[in-house]
Amino acid sequence: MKKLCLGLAVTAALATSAVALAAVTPSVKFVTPKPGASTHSKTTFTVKLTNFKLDAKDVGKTKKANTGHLHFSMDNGKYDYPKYSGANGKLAVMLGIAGKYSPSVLPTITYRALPKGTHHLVVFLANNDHSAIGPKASITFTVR
Amino acid sequence: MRLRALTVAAAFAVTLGSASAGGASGSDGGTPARRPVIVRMGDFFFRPKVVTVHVGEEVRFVNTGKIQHTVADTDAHGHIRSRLIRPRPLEPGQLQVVRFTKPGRISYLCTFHPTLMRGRIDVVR
Repeated sequence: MKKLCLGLAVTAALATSAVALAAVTPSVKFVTPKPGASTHSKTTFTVKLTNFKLDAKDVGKTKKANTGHLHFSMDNGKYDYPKYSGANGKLAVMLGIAGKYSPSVLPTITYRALPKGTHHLVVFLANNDHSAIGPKASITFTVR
Repeated sequence: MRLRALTVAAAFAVTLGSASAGGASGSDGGTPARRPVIVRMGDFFFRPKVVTVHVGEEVRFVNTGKIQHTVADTDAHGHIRSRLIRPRPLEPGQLQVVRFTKPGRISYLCTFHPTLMRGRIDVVR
């Protein structure tokens, strides 16, 4: 009986830890547009963040758990310039990462002047110090 | 990882070789050879923070940290200008070489970590 109780207690403790761990793992997914959607050359993309807080004032500082900003990369950075990603692209130029990704402290980004055809946008969660956290999401869409 | 180590090692090897050449050139009365100066970019610092170089000398910014860093010159107020030093993300082990052709005091920072990483280069004749 004693062994059974001990076993149950250990199982319960492990289950609780697993739930706690899952609860703090950050994630990101695209909300709009839908995957495979047809869009205009100017399109706003929105992502949903779970267990992750966007922190504009601490960008560039040391990392803090589940806090940071986003890096959007359109067609491997081909459209991450001011002409396409506007203010985010300007920030990319200032940081020296234009042509790689556009940083954002909001869960949305607007790309404009995208040529017709299929495009692929990836978003990465980034720490305050710009290092990649790991979770990312991507979407493929077509500009008509 | 090995590539990183090799890149950094190569950078230091070049520096040591050039430094020796500079000493030899100086001893025979000729113009001393320009020696590259190394500034290490760690997490989150530039070391040395202030260096003095002569016009025409190179400064090699080497990322010895574990995350990406950049280097860009700023104006007197600390705003990024990127005119003399154009930033590009440097992976751990990578380096960026900058040659200074005019005398002056150049402040710079890491665009990714502007509040934590700043330095200065005094370029003299």
